[in-house]
Amino acid sequence: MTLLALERVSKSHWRGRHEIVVLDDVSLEVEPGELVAIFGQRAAGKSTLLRISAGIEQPDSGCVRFEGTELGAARFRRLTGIHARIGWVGRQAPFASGMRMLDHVALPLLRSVAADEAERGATRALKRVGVGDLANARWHELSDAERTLVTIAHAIVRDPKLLLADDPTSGLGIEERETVLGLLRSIAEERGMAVLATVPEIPDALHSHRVMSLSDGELIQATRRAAGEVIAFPQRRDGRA
Amino acid sequence: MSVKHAVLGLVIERPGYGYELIQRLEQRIEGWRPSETAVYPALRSLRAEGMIRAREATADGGVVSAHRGVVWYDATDIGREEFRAWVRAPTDLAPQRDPFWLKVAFASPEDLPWLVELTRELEAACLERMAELGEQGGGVEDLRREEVEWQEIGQAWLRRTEAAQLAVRIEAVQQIRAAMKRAIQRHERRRGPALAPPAAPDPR
Repeated sequence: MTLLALERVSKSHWRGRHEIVVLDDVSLEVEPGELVAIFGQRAAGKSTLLRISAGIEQPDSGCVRFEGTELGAARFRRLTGIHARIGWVGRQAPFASGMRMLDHVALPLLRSVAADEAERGATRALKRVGVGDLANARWHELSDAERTLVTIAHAIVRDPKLLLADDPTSGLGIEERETVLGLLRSIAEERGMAVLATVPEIPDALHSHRVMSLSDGELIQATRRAAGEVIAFPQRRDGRA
Repeated sequence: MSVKHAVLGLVIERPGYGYELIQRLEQRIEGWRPSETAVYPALRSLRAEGMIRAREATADGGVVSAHRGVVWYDATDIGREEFRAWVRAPTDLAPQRDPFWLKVAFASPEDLPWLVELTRELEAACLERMAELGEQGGGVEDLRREEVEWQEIGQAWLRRTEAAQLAVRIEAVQQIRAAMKRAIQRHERRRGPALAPPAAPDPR
């Protein structure tokens, strides 16, 4: 089953009387086990797309389905636990600045399990992303790349079905970028997790299973066709061209 | 592109015959989309210039007997020398030959809705090619391993440069689309909504 589906999602922000179209009729699907990269420059609408995919923000029109359930409707039903199944990789510093990274990563687990079990889970997550040695380090001691890796550990510790990563490679060097994206790809493959990552530079997208690009609120997908697939007659967009 | 030198390079790597060379060429410099029909004239002219030599395949000629009757080509010393000189010679800056940009430059405002649609197709095609390149691997770390042969590294860089060029094209196409959308709006404000979006695909 399609894990995440955006159907004809549009979103605008208003600056006074000026409408700024952030997402213009965007549709996409993400399947379990795949890393989908969305390239877009600054202000292309990437973060809004991710926030809407996470159910944090609501679209003006169109709908977002997570495992077939509409996210807008689920938003107020906390008991569905939908947000434990969506991981978020952003640029946030830990909740408390002096925290050990082990505690930082364990925090999301504490809602559901005891402290020692949460700690074991956090240790596993840190090891999985290759920074097991940073368990006792503090945030301010880490390099940008290490922070990104710890943030990924924090996001996967609850073993979510969907991982949303907001520009995880920005500010990193070429090899660090490859490490981070290679890691996201292998996590997607081994856990059957769907990963939707935005990237600020196109070559980053080389590591993904699928590439899309977003500019001016418009999402373009590769013209990939399975062998023997019937190709629909291309449809023109509406008059807003 | 110099199909002739690419073919010569392939023959120097190992002897081959027409069809087999076409296949190897496609594998090696896939992104350049070499024309199959260019390979045979290239072979003829290389042969005329003495850079390769032909031999008929025979069962005892040391070549695969299944390909009896096929003309195999070997590089000659002249060919090897010429190829080496070509590799080391300076290269001119390649001209921009993408017809899309010519269209952009010569289009009138009435053409813009069609061109906007073209940018979408072009961008989708670039992304598709990007995905193909991604599947072929060749990360920086792989290439730093001690035992990697130069040819593999060179091949990977051919892909990486293509990816970089695709990236530039995608960004340029996105920017030109935004500019064209603004131009369409301006045009409509001035003349009323005369620029209806195309109803049918462009009859090319």
